[in-house]
Amino acid sequence: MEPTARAKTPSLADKLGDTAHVSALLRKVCAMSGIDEGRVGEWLLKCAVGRGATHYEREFSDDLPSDKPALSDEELGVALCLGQHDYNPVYVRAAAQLLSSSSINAPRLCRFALMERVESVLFFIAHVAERFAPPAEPWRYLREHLRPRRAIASDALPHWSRFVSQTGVTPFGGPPAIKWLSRGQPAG
Amino acid sequence: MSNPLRILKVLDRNLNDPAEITLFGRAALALGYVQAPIHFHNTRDVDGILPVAWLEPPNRHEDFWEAVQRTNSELESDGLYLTHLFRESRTRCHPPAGLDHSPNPN
Repeated sequence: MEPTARAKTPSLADKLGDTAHVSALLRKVCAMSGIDEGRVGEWLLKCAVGRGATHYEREFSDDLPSDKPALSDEELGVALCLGQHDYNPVYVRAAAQLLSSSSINAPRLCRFALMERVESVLFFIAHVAERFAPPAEPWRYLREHLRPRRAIASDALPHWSRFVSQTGVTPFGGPPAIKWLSRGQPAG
Repeated sequence: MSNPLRILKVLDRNLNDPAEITLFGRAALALGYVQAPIHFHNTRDVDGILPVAWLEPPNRHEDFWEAVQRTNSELESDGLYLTHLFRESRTRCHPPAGLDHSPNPN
């Protein structure tokens, strides 16, 4: 008997109800890493963790190459949010922590978001950030300058609680402390 | 100058080899139809459709992708870009309402 073919994993674009384009940025990251589109998301995640998305620290496969400084933080954050990747909300969450830094060039991030059609994803993160860290950049800038291209199925994106750290117990019986996950210290 | 025309002229200058791209969206209307609204020339990008066969294997047409990269770098300060390129199998286009469907012969 023939084995049943495995169903293809839906992409983030599929989940959002969007159409994935042929991404020049995805081609660039595949070329610089030497990894094909199917696995390059793991490499991007590894790079993001190394650059300060510390909440997503994990063991990565040994055959993933080291980070490439030629890839800017803004490009890395946008590349993690590309609709072409197999659906993995951790990529979007890691992008949120990586980009939550005053060192990010917000206008450049905005341009890359438009160019790579991830403005809906970043706009969504920016609005979650507004609840927990209203003045935090680059999110404040994105809220002012980005507009989603179209309505998306935002339930495919991570719940707000996945972008923050929460303490279960606070002194004197207070409510849990909820803190927006900002970028940590880069490894090394 | 019309933004779509400027983007395509820069792309053309950066290309060494011939490339095929089918335009759609505002840029296509601005360049293809004389009666298109004038503000379509203000669009900041050019949307294109790439033939499926042309895209395989993925490492073909490096010249085209390098030209796209150079074009976007060159136009960054003006906020113009060319990145919304789609496989023809992922698109379904309809002529816009209210426009004569014959492209501008000029």
